[in-house]
Amino acid sequence: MTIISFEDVTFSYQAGQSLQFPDVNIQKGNTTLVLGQSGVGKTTCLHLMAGLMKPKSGSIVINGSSIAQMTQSELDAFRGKNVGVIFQQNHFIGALNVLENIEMSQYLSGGKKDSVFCKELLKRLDISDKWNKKTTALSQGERQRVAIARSLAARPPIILADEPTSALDDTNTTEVFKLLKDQADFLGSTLVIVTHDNRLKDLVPHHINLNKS
Amino acid sequence: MNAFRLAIRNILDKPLNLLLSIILFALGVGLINFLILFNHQLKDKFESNLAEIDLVLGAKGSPLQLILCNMYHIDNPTGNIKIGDAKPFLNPKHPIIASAVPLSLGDNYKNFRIVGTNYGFTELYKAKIAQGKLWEAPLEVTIGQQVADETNLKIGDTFTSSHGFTDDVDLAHDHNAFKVVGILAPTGAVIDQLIMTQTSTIWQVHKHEEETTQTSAEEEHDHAEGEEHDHDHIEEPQKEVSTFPLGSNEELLTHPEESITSILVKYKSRTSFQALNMPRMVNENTSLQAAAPAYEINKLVDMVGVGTDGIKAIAYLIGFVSALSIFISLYRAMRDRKYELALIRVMGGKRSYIFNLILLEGFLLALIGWTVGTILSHVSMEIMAGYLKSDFRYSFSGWIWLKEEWFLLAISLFIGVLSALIPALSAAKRDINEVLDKG
Repeated sequence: MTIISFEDVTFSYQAGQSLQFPDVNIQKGNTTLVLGQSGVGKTTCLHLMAGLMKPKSGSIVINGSSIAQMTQSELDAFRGKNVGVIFQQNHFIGALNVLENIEMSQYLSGGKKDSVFCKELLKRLDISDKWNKKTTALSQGERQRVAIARSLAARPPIILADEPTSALDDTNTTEVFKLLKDQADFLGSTLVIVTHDNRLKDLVPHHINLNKS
Repeated sequence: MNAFRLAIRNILDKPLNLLLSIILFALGVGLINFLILFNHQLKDKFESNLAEIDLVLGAKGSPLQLILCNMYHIDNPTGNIKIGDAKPFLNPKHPIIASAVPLSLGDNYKNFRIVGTNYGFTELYKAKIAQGKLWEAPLEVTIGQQVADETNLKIGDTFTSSHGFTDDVDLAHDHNAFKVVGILAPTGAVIDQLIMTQTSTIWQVHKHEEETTQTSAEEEHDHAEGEEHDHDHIEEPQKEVSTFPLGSNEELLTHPEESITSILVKYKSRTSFQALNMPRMVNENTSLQAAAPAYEINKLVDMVGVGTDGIKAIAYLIGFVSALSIFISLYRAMRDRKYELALIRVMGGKRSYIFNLILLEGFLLALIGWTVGTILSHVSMEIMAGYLKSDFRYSFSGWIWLKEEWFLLAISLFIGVLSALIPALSAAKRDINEVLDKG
């Protein structure tokens, strides 16, 4: 079953440049890498998959819904329910503690608050003792784990990660990837990693290459 | 977590910013609210003392002084008038005058003024007897509530007055002891601070004074002689009581050669042509002066108003600065928090959530600022009331609630929301891709 598909997708920036994306067909449950050098539109691709922006032309179908026709607020609601995103830089709501940040994702996706599940995620990510800390008091690695937990909290069918390993050494790269993969598998979500990190190629069988050949 | 709770968490997260915004806002609200409380009570004091008196007749001089002396009892008399000169106005059959109450001033007891008048005076202020009765015989007095509270005079007590309006032992009228026969219930008006007796009592006290100074220049004079004089003068008015009710204007008219200080006049119809013309007629054609209290008090309030206008302008300036401070602090917060606002959108939050969040922060800042400011203004009014009471015997209070304060709340919240509007709109409209690209 196809969970993300791109067909004849083009995108144009406000500055006027336009991008042509290859057709994409990601199957449910298949962890997939989206590869490409800087500047080929990796982040744009991720934003399109997340429903954060709309294509200029072509069709994007995510988990059975075509997002090109959605209004802005339909798109917000759709994204909250279907996609969890982990960004390269991890930002949090500064006024809230770790657990509240994770619960916020459940609230905003329109779901019920489920503190037990949130705490379970923190435990699986081995940071359950930090649940009541401010996010500013955490280390980089811990912040990334909180970001992973947050992306999973609303149980989205799709998890998108933007360069999750680019700043890490080889050992940590493998570890973070395993962490992501395990959690996605735990929820039955499809994991899509957008990266230029070639180290991940050997770990993930399915690739989409954005580089112009 | 809904936008309301997140807004609370956000403003509490930056306590110093919160403090600055709230201090500024509270200062503006507090100053304006204090002025509202003060002006309202001042106006109330002036108006309750107006007691529907349309005109004050007295000796020529400053019309404002005439009003302040005879209605508010805070200035000296312009002089005395002869009953003979005021005859037509005291006549109960006067075509346009509904009531005319004579006042005779000149003495005090412990700085409380003694007023020679008739029962019409208590009716002007709708004063009721709380204990005892109204004065009847000469030298009997009925006192206001505040006089009773502060001098501890009780029914049956006697006291001697002193001449003038400030307590002075050297000027004591030693030989006429007043006797308290009644205490009035509090009215909130100036009558609470007065000692009332019949007009002839004042004449008697002063005549005695004049004659004793005439017979001997020395302070030490023959006691028996003084008492004899007393008897003479008490008998004189009592002779008239047989024909007219005691203290009535008809009775006064039988003493055209005697003096009073003023007459408080109420018209039958305020808007009649004759009533409107009466002050001018009196001032041009008689030896008396007529002054309209409403007019003079408005003039006074206008003059004093210049001062309060200045404070008002400062208060509005602070109000403006505090609105600006809310605007700047929210605008900065919105810029500092652009990633978390973008994140809220990524996690499924709508533009309206972001908009409401920032608007609510402005609303909450204004609400807290208003609350602190309102408490401040009431507490400082109460502190000031203590000084006003000891200095002017004006009973102000900080523990009152005016409907204007709700109005101020509405304006405060409006300002809070208004200053949050631009930051809220620009945050809600911001393109999240752009923010995230740079993240």
